[in-house]
Amino acid sequence: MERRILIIDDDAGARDALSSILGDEGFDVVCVSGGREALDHLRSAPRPSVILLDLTMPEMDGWEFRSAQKQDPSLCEIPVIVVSAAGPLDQTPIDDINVEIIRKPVDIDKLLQAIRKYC
Amino acid sequence: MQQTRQQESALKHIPPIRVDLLSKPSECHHIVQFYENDEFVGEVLSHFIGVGLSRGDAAVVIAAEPRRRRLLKHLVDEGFNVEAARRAGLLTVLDARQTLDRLLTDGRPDTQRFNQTVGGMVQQSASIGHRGAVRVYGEMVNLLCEDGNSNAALELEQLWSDLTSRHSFSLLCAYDIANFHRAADDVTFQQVCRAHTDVIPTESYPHNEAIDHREREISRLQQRARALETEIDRREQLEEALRDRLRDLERTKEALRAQSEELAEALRTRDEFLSIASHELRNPLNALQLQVASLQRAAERATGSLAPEWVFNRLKKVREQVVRLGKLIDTFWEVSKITAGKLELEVQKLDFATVVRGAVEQSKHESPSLLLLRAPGSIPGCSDPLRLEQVVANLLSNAIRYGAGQPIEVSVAAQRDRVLLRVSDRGIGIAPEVVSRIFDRFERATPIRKFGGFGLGLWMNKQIVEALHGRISVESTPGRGSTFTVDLPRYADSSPEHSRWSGEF
Repeated sequence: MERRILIIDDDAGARDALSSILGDEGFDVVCVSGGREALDHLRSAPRPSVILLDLTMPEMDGWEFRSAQKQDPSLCEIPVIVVSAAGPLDQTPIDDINVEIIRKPVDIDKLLQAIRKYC
Repeated sequence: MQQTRQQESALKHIPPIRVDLLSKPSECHHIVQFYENDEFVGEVLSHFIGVGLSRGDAAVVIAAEPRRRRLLKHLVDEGFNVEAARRAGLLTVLDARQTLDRLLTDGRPDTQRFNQTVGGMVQQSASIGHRGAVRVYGEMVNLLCEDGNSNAALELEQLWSDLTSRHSFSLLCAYDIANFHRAADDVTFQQVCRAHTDVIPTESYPHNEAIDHREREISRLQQRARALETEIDRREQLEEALRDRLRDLERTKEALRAQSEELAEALRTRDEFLSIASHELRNPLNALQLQVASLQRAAERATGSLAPEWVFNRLKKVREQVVRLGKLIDTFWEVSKITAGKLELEVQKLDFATVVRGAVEQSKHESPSLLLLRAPGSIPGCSDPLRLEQVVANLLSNAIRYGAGQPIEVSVAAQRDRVLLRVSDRGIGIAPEVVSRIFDRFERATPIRKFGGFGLGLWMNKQIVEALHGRISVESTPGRGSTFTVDLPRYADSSPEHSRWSGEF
């Protein structure tokens, strides 16, 4: 079973930390900094087992990415875990029952548990 | 209002007077004429005395100056020889105030003096008048009422009544009805009426014939009407005062509502700030926590010692996040200091070009965009280097965040005694409707779900630049980018009163 993870987060620190720790755990990690870049990557590279998705991002944010992903038959099946620091008042949680939500700061055990359901 | 009514009635034709009573009063009549208008009472007096003199009666007039003048003119007009009558003792004319003053002791009429002066005069006149007939007109009682001394007026009336019982003469007293304008004046009014054998209502009841006892009732009603008018005036004034008070209250209410809205807005701003702050703190904390967790897991799993290079690399990343957290906390500290009006400046000699170059170099490490700097070798001047660096860093951080990865141009140049700093990006730009707000606290030109940040950078820049007596402005085209311009004095004032700056909050 392939253990490939795509991380979508505009925060370099978060990308860095997640890829370090997941790399240590033996996962094959690819990082992108936004929704648009993620879609480009998904359409041209091997399919990941799971996507870790941040919500607050410039250009294409997490909500927009998720909606584009669901509309694309070749991508809609890829499981998504939302990793978000969501907090500001105007943010609404992602309205999607198939998506698991993990809040920042991330509890690594919880995150690994969620990832291992898919790979 | 009373004034207005009096003026109105003064304009009208003088109403008829009680000819029957005033022309042919029987001896020992003690008449009271109430009046509203001075003109009218002058007419009454002229008639009363004029008819008397023409019948050969002697006359004593104790009146105020306007009425004396009017009487004498009337008599002259009627062809009467006033001077001869005065010389003969047929006509005696006295000033009411002067005569009254002579009669009073401690504000009360003195019986002996009254009998000597007034009594003496009446007696003397009776010896001259035809068949001993005398007519007396007096308004000293009216003066006492006007002075608010109605008790003395009633005492004086009693002295007059006593005099009519000793000497036979007809006496006409005149009272301004305005002296009884309060409801409480009705007692005095009734006493005045009782002190007279005949009561004539004011001219507003224009009846020139006797209508028996009802005249007393009519006079009483007139007094009541006058008192009611006063009461109406008083209530109208109260009503007006109440309306004023209501208007004041309405204004106060309005001010309170505005204040409460301001407070609610301040609370909303604070809540939003707390929410954004927790979000902003969460990102570096998250990275820090993950890095530490990875170190811990690696240590737990390690059978031998961890590779020093690997550990060093992880610790470097830990340190980066700690630095980031520290910067955020510095921002909170700065904001609270600026809000409290305690932005501290340290103005010193510096090279603007070097400071800007340094700030750009710093930002290069964090920037995915290409940073291009245009600066001369050196721009010596006087300013606060740390604050200047902060301004450049804030502008670059915005340009990087909103610059869509396109190259960012920074330029610094001296223009005579000014230094112009420009930061231009080719990013998303700012919509015209929000340009005016972007230097406000917690304002941002973009939705918060797209771009994090406090919305404080430009606000802080504006506070710093203005504290350094400079200006900050922006030009932007949506979709094509923004150019921020900072215009600073090349030599900022470093005197102590300028090194601390108080903001307005």
